[in-house]
Amino acid sequence: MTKTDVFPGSTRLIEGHMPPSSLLLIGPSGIGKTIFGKQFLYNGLMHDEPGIYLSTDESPERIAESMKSFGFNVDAYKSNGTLRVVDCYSWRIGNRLNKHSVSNPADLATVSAAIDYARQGLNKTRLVLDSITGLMTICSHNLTYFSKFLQILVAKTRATSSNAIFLVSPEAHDQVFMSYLREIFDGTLEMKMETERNQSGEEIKRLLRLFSLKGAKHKTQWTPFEINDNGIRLKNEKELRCVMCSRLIDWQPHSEVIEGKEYSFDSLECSNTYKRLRSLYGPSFE
Amino acid sequence: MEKEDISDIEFQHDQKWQLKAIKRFQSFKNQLFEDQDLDCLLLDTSPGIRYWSINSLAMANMLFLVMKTSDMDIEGTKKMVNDIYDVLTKYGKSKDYIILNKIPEVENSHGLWSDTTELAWAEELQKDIGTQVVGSVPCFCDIQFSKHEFLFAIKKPDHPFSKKVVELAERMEKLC
Repeated sequence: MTKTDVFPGSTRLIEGHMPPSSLLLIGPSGIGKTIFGKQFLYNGLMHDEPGIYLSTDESPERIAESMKSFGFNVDAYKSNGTLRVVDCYSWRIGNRLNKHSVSNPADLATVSAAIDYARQGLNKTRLVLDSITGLMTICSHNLTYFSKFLQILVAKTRATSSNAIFLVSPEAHDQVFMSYLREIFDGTLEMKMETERNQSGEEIKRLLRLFSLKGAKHKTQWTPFEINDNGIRLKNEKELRCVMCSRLIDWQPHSEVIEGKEYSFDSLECSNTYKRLRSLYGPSFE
Repeated sequence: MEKEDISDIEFQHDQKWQLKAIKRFQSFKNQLFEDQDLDCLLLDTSPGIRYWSINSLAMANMLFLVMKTSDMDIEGTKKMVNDIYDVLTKYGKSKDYIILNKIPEVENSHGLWSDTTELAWAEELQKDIGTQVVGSVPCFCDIQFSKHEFLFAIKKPDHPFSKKVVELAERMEKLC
């Protein structure tokens, strides 16, 4: 199997296998958190991991449509029940569109029950909660209760070795709440925007970093990303390619000094193959 | 692009092209293992010192040299081991082994060749060449002179030849 991203760019940010995790994704509105969550869910569906999408801001139809616009066609998964949308949006218009719709998301017990119901019959799942901010604005509970609700969700996710991403817009919450949140999850992903001046004027640059992740070695620096027709793609500040197989080196290169010159390889195997060929062909093998 | 003959590939392209081709080959090999989740990839090549042979040998983690028991094969193998294989196996975990080919079976040769003599001969060869003999492929006239070509070991799994091939494959697997 190919090195598959669990979430967009995870193979570049995490060394080796990513442990099942509940991650908090922090980023300002409009940066691409929702697309990120949808892509994470779709990656799972493509690898037979059922998905649960809790949305406070979009109807199930709109979710499917927007996913399709990035090439994430989920019609078949919705039909066979491997993608379930816990709809915390449609209560506003009085519609009960599907069996996973929540009629009163102001009550977190109802939301929790709807997620449990959506999990029924599924083992390892991927959950996206989009978003904590949306849920906070409609629920009528205090911080402690809300925090408990999230802790239970995380514990249930861990119990089934599942993955989950919880989206939050930090500008809508105070520092105390954000500090609480960071404590609850196994890891934190952060997104930010920077404005760059270039010849064609000002350009917005999107950046992502994996601030923390329990149980895995990972990069912590900001990595630029773009949103294109296929969703989110991490960009390279500087491309480093293997001298032997010319492949883009996502993680740390395997470096070797050969005859006084440093070479970067994708793996130890590429390095050994290079040395074997060089010993046969001589220094002209570059 | 027109299909090229393998000898044309060697003679019509310069060394720069050849080196680029090796890199593409390595990249393809990496992709195969990652995308197709392969356990093992067999590269079948001649033991010569042509580009395609050397490149395949350099790509491999393990070299199995298939040789017959004639004096010419033994001498040729010795030379290859000294000139090429020793250099290739210097880097990484790569190791070279010998597989004896077309070994007469006792039933076919009226006792002139037996498992015991094969073993003694293999040991002698190991000492002489300095490379471990993994096993042998027996020689059977009914296969050698068969009118049709087919996957013999699959079609006739109970034939002594097939059993010996399975045994050899198991030994090779243990070395991986």
